[in-house]
Amino acid sequence: MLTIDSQNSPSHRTISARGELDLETAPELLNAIRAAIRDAPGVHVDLSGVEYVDSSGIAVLIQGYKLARNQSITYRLRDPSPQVMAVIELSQLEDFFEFERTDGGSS
Amino acid sequence: MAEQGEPRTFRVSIPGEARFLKAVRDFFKPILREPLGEQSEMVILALDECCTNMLKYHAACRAGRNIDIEAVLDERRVQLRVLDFCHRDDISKIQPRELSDVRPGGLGTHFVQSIMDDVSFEPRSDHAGRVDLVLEKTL
Repeated sequence: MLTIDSQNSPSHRTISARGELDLETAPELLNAIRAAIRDAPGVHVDLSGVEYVDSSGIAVLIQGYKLARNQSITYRLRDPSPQVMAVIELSQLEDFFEFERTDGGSS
Repeated sequence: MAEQGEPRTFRVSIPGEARFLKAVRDFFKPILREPLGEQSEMVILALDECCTNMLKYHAACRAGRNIDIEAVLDERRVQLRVLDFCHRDDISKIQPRELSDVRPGGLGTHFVQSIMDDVSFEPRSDHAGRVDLVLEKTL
């Protein structure tokens, strides 16, 4: 199960995902990212509450990045949980995405 | 009750639908946690990717059929067997993509090969042309 919430600020929309991101639930996140890219000046995807991600979830994060880049808007992954970060590293994408850490800074 | 050293076997069968993938993960989580510790999370990811692969690429020839998985645990290894995974002619199509070519898709096979110590296909004696996918993790 995946729960998605959105919060707007002047500079971006934060999409907060909580739960498990897999073949069944990944399309829900993609829809939320697509809507944010259409409507907001930037997109932050908060992954702190994602307990599980598989290749379908990583594919959605890549799609979001490419859609945002095509629209020339910012796209950041915020506070990925340890499980999410482990799978991003397994995918060798830790230098591909831009990350935001609420305990300080972005990379 | 199994004697010490005797292999233990666990089986699960789910309908071939994405909404049941979580049930597979939840079934194997406590079973694999004991022998594999923290590694169990990645092994469950590998198993999940195999089931996802079946649903995405082999669904047409499996419509209405279950996905059956068997785990055998002994002192030396964890063996996971996805029964009737695909037709032997489709094995060559299952390839990881180049990671430098960043795009959606193609990561699942890379995950499976990176996480597991051995990945193989075994012909089924009861079903000509069909193969089981066998994943192994050495303890």
